[in-house]
Amino acid sequence: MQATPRGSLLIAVPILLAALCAAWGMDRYGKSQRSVRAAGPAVSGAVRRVVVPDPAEAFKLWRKEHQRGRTVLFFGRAWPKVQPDAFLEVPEVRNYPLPLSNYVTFLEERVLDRSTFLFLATETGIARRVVAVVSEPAFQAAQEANRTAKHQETVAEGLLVPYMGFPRIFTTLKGLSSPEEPVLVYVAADFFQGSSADELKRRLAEAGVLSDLIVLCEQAGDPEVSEGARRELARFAMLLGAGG
Amino acid sequence: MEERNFRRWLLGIVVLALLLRVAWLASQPVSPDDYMVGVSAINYLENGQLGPTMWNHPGLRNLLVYASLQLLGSGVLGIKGWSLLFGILTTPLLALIGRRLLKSDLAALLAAFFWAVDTLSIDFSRQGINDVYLAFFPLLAILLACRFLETRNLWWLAGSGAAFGLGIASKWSVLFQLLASGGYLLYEVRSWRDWGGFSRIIAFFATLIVLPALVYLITFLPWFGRGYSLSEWPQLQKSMYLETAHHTRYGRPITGDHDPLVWFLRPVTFEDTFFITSRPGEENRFVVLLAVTNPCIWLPTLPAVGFLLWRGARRREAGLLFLAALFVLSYLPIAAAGRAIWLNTAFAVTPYAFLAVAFLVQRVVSDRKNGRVLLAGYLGLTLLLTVPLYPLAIGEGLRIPHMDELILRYFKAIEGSDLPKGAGEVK
Repeated sequence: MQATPRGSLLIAVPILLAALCAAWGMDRYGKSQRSVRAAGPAVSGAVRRVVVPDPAEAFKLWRKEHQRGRTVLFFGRAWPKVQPDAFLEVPEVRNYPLPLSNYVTFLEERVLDRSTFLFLATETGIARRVVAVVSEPAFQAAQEANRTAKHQETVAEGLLVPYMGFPRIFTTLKGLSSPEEPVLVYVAADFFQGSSADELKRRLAEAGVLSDLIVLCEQAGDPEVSEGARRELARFAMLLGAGG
Repeated sequence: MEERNFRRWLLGIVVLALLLRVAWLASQPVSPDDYMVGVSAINYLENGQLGPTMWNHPGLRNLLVYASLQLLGSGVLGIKGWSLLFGILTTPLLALIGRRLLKSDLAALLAAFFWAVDTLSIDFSRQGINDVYLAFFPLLAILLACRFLETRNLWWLAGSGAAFGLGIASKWSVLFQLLASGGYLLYEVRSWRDWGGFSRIIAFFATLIVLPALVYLITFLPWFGRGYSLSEWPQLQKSMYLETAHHTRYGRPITGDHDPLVWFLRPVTFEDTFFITSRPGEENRFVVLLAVTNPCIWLPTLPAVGFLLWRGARRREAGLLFLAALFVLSYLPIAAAGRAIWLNTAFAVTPYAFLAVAFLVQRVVSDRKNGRVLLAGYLGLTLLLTVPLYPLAIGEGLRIPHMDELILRYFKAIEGSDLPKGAGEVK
């Protein structure tokens, strides 16, 4: 195909069309990978609600339901901190053929617990982004801790601090805004050590949060969670109405 | 030079490059980086996650390594096969481009020879990480662009754009070579009367901007498989950019040679140190992979580029100026970055540095009575220096008496700390 006006069109038009199709196609493909089911207002009482004793059970539930590509709206006293580097062990014995495996499957089998469940949700693809609604002190601590982070910026939903490109957004109950899609709601009992069930229900309604699954976690056996908080979690469940 | 002789010499140099890159490769200790390349490839293709290693770089390496792991298993070729292939193929690419831009077969062969014996190139052709891709893909793209200029066939131009896209999908620094090449092409086609105005613009736009962008975007398909939409992609790019722009190692502060301003002023090094053991319970072995730049090849670079610029401007030789532009546009952003940068980033620059030095050497020895003697002496010295540097680059330096002592002293000096326990002793 020679460099002539006709040749230019014959080469350029397919490339431009291919680019447009690819961009559109990849966008559609990405969205098609999200496992969103029939959703409604989170406070409506019609949204399916599950109570779990432990955060790890929340992860297992999401996994069992093949949840994928979701926004997780996390309500907790603070972001469950983990040290991902600690999970990454390069074996000292490294002979060919190398014993390689799916790193995330390895993590899921070995390190799932109350502090890693959210990290694993991000790694396994259950969550493609997390909006963490935390207590005011925890939010300020997150702001302070990430002041020198390479990528941190204020967005409409709160403070965006990606981890290896994974979007994590921190906010408070006051700052909760409406996500643009139905979310997986996760409410930890310790969230009620700084807020009330009425307040949470009111803010969810005001923000217009839509969901297809709400997980309420009692954090049983966690000595840092008060019985009062667990009772408030149960009251929140009652405020939401029927569900189940 | 007769075509037959050129090919023979080039074949010999390619065989040399191959031998230096594959010798003892299967027994070379597997570095943590090599291992993590495999882990990251699986993580990207099966989970859509960039990382855990080098997450801030685009994912072409992950795609290629995953394919080779599936086809060839997790042996040396599965992990390192692509770097090996690209490292070897860069050798003839340099010669073919050198012929066209420098208009000298001798300079072309010299550039290929430099690459073949350069220990940094050897080191990284033997590793799983993708720095060698920074040399290969832009050179491939430039060669295809040259073919377009020779034949006026737009498929070559499209091929060039695709190769640039693959390069950018390895590391973003290839954008600078794309920029230089675009300028060169626009200059060279300015006199093509039957291809002007809109036709030229649309063709260049499609092949050198849209097509590389398309190739780059497609390499993120596994990431989109996590449920992301196109509107979320720019945020990922921003995160990657910010990490790259401020990157000084993951976790620990950077050590070792990391000042790009001195790359061409004195011999510099790239070191990779780690422990490995053959069997559980056996004693660990301390390994040092140490690439030291060959002063015969690296130190003439800046004068050589200056010479390129002077001669190219004086004689209005666009090829020389293009080569100088490639070097300047590739090196300046690195040199001006104002942060610590490891020597492996030099792969964005070294092909053009080697071409420049080759041209300088060729001009010095040409048309001289004792030119052949000079050339033989220079090449002999270059090879002589390569001999002791080679075992350092392949991780065997600690097994050689007296060399081990030097390496351990170097390690202590460069790391600024005592040797790890079990590494050996400085006597």
